[in-house]
Amino acid sequence: MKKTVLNIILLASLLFVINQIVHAFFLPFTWGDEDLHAKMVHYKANKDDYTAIFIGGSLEYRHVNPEITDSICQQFGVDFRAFNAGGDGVAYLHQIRVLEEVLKEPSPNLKYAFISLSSTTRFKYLNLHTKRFASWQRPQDMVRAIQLTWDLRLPIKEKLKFSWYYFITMIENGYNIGFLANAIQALTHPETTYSTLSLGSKENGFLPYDEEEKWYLKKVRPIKKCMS
Amino acid sequence: MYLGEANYLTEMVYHKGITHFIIAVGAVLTLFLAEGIMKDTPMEEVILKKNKLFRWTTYSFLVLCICWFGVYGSREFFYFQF
Repeated sequence: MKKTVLNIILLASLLFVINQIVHAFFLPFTWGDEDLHAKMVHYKANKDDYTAIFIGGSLEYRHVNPEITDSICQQFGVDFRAFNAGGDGVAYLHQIRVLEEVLKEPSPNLKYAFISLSSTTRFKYLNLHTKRFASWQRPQDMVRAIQLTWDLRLPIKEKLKFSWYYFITMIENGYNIGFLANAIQALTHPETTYSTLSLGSKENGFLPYDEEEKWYLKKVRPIKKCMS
Repeated sequence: MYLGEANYLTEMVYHKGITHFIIAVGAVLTLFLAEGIMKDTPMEEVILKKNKLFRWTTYSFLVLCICWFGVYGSREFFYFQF
């Protein structure tokens, strides 16, 4: 019995290591999020053009127009060229992950990074088990999520529930449970999955709802060279 | 009009992407191949006769395939906020 349990633990550890290698070398953390993936691909390719980055949820994505912030700052002699890296449903912990990835290979021109404080670690139950919610979560993100959840003023039942949700999401993503076929499809045929719509018409990451509506009425989504 | 015009085969192959189709076909071929090699001998008998390295590689491969390519009813991200 002891040997069987040890073997199971050994096998689970081995598979976890294999999956971490897959994550490190083959899966970008944004693969499950169509909008954010296009933005990060664009940002990485053009990062020297920007001195600032806005990271946030839909509030920032849909309302922070880099054209306006750039022009106001430039009036005061500040070299401010911003990229809007916000995305729908991107909560605080997800934003921290985006910032960490940006700072892994920072552009020497990057001087300002803004993070939204408008969301917590709570999320809609319907988003559990979705590739977009799970694909960015590492073990350290789970620890951070649980710590923050326990700092919130919530009933203990809620804290336990969300801690459990983050734990199973980390396992899901840690072992790529049910995700890998989708990931291979997305990364080998990006034109079937991703769209550069989220970059907006000025390619600065700002896409107001009225601009997006026009694309929906046309019933097409743009794909630029960087994604295909 | 002929049957091919309805594009049933194309739709069947591409509706979830070519990757899913290749994985499905590959899995079926692996099943036939394994059946052909093992014949009526139970799988565990064949594997237990092999050395440790082969056994662990097989276990890892099987569990990874179940994890990676299994269908667990994942859904699309839900976003609705004002």
